[in-house]
Amino acid sequence: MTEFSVPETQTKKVGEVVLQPAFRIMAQVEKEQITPTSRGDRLFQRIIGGTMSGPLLNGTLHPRSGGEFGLGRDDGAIELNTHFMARTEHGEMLYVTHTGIRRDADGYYRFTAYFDSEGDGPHAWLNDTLVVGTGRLGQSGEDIEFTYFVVA
Amino acid sequence: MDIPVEVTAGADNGEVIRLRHAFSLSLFFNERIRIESAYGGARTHRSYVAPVGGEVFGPRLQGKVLPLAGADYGFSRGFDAHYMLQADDGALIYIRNRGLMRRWDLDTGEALSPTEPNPDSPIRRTMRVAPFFDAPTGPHDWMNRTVFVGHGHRYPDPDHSIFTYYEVL
Repeated sequence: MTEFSVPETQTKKVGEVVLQPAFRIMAQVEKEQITPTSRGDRLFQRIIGGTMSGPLLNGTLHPRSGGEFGLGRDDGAIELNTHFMARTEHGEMLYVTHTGIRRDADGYYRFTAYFDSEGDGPHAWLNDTLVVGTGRLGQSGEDIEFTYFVVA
Repeated sequence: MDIPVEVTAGADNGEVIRLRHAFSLSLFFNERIRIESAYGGARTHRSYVAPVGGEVFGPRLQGKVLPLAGADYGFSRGFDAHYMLQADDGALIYIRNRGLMRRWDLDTGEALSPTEPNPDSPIRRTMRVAPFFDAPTGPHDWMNRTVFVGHGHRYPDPDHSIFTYYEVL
């Protein structure tokens, strides 16, 4: 094929995004278990249970339905990899997964969250919504507060 | 382009999140291939859309998109692209661009409420993305330790998309 040259772009503009507070989860977790692997330290925290509350979603975490399976890397970052099930106040089950970065050096704990909800249920909008969140580890190591924002 | 765009939101529990414009990508395409999928449900088809070129521009990264070094292998409602970028200093940076379609009202130009499940008004599809990067050790390695979100818009003549990425601070 012939060499492609990028045309003068008329669209070098920065579009807007809107952040909307969505809900938070108070998760009870077991203390972190560290397993050294050839890929890094696998950091496992089982999620025992918890509650979801906020303007867009309310409910509870399905007991012992998953956890945080982070991977500690040599550069100091932890790749977040979280999976659990939640039940909304309407009784729907949701699958929730986070991917993101935690840095213990400066307390950075940010992720994007994806959801599978029942396709025709009241929370089907979650399936095609980009959600970003923060995590805050409790002092005891036995709870994490997740706060979620819709990127609209 | 001189003014960094920053967006902040705070939740009731005091948690604050900030987004800061990092850079943008243009991606130019000359074909779109579609594979009809047997999955059904949300995945009615798989696509293959490869960039023939593009630029990286903005406050925190400048460079180009390597031609035909990856593609979007998306499915109906989302996409999942792999590209190689080359920064102006020569560094090769891998981007995995995962994203979702968002609905916009054509009449008002406003995003439809995420809680509105089935709008009657005309819609156009646009994109929301959460990419991640592998950058080599050096001036760009902050990208490996940062969460990004962004958006994309598709334009015709020539067929191209512009993605804008924000650091999640």
